[in-house]
Amino acid sequence: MSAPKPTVRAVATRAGVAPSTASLILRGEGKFAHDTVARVRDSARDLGYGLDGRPPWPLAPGSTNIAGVVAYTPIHGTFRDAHSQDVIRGLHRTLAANSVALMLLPPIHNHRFDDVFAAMPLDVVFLLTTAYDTSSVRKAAHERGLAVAHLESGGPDAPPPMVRVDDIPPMADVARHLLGLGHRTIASITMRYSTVPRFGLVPPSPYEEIENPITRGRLEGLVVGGLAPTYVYEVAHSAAAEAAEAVKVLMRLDPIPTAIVCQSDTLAEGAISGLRELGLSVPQDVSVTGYDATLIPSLAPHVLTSVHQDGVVKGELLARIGLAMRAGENPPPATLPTFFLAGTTTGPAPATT
Amino acid sequence: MSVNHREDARKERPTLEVVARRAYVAKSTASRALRGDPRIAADTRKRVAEVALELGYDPLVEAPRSGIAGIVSASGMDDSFADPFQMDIVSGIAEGLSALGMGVLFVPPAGTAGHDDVVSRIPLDVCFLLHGFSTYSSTRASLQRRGVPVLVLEAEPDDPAPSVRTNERQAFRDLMDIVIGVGHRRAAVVSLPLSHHRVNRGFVTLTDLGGVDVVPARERLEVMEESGLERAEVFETTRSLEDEGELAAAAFLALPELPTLIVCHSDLLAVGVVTALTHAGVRIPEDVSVTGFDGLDIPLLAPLVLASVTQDGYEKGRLLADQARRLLTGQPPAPGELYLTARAGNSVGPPRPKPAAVVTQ
Repeated sequence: MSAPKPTVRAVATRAGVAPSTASLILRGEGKFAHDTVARVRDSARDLGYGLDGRPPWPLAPGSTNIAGVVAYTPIHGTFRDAHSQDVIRGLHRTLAANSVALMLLPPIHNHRFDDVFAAMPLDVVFLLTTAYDTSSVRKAAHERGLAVAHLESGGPDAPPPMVRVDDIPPMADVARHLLGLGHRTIASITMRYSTVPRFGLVPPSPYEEIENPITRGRLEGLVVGGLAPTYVYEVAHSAAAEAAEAVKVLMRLDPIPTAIVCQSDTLAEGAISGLRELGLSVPQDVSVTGYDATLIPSLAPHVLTSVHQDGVVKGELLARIGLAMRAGENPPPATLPTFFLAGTTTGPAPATT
Repeated sequence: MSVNHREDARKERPTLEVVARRAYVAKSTASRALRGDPRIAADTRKRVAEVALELGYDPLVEAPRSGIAGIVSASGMDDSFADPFQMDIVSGIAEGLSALGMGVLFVPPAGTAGHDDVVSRIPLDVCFLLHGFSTYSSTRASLQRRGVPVLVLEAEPDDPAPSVRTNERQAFRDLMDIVIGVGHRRAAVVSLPLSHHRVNRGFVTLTDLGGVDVVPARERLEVMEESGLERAEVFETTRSLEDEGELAAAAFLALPELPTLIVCHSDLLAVGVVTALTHAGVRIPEDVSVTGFDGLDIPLLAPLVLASVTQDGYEKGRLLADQARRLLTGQPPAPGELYLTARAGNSVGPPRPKPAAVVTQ
């Protein structure tokens, strides 16, 4: 004999609420205290209400405990670039501690993005990168009344980041450090200027005109420190292979740069491997700096001269902001501390002949 | 503007609707026809198939799916984030799925309300089980009851779920042959968790491997047996992280005599063992040889390079994602194959000679 099908009334009785309340909660409607919602759901689950392949209650925002994340590009970079991975890790950890699961959304430009975005009612959306024009996602989220917490956002009308990283002071320190070592001709390998991926030597235009705030701030810092780069090489992704290609171009220029300032550790790693391929030593022939101060296995025992920013803390700060927004609050932006760290990949500028 | 650009891209994309219109049938008929439903007349099926082919219509893209893949590890993804090898696997899966336009949901760890919530009601197209799930775990049962196909990273040999085939046993055997080659006959083991049914940390007595039901742990113990290495102490850990290796090393240091060889079931465990032993003044490999598994690049150990089995985690993830693609497009499974190799490194040397009788002068 099979057990009778559980009813809404049974679920309500077990949860100690009125049947009408249980009915609303199971349909994902109405506004109820979190613990009431949880009690009704637990009761439904215990009784096996509605569980035969079909969710017992519809998915509505505010009920899924899922945060959507527009991650870095390419998506594997999110896990392979040490800093990006730390950000995701911090984000995930803080969300998990608050019983919110993290979902990586497909790349914005993928034609299925909207479908996935719609199929998964999310509680909150996190935008991590300046590499995409996120205006359409911001608009779609706004229409659905979804909180959007952005670490970085790309596009012409992108709002300022909610976790601020002041790149200028530590990059000014990088410039002063190199100046002190006698460097006068430096090249910078930078992130994208805008959401349009480009790759190659770019005229050193005034930094004010650069759309991407990360690229802009890190170049501006060098100028503030008194060492404007002679050459600027823009890459499409913070990928080691792109920087390895870049140094092959940069080291053919005249005057030859004696130092290469990279806008990420991953780029610096690629630059150093490219220099090694050219038979050049770091820092005897060329000094190299990075940004993020992550541990780069291939460089051991070298330690990269870099700017420290703690990705895990960054992710945690962002998660707290997103969680507060999800709760209907209007949290102020946070600031992530950064500082310059001298390593062993910078040395005195080689004497010019 | 980029928004319009995206709209345009969508118009060019052949949808089921376009296929149906061009074939002069209803959308539902087109859908059935493409699935080979016998209720649809043969010539209609043929016509729809021709139109679909002509337009380059990809049924995968249009399938009524949520576009969401779950990815779950029994101990929680936070542990996975601490393990570079697992991150490589995750990055491969995420990359493969994002190419399909899918989202990747990190399912909360088993035993939490969030986990049950996702497993019981979130619309998943497919779910990847990374670590710590037996064939009969309740997570897997719940997913399968809902009709969510699962892909298993560490599948039992007879598991019908799609997985990735590797030459793991052979590569580990090669590693064992390397240590035997330099003169080792006996090895202590720092193992992965041995059972899905209990959590244990400490020395265990294994008269046989019958109770060992965690696939990679059992395989590595079996292969060590087959190689002829005598199994000395086995220290079981609760998870594959450095601190567990450090605890294991502390236990070995408390023994009357240190093993000459410690075979660790993962590189991270080996890192913990090496770190703690080195800290205690033990030289690797002069005093104790240590092996790992996974082939990670570990800067902290430089210039020491672990003897290990190297595998490409990213590629493993891509192969798993490809399995998902086949599954979702109704293609028969064709397990990807991953080739692993043994790396000698420099963490293994000849066993230290028996201590000479102490001579007091």
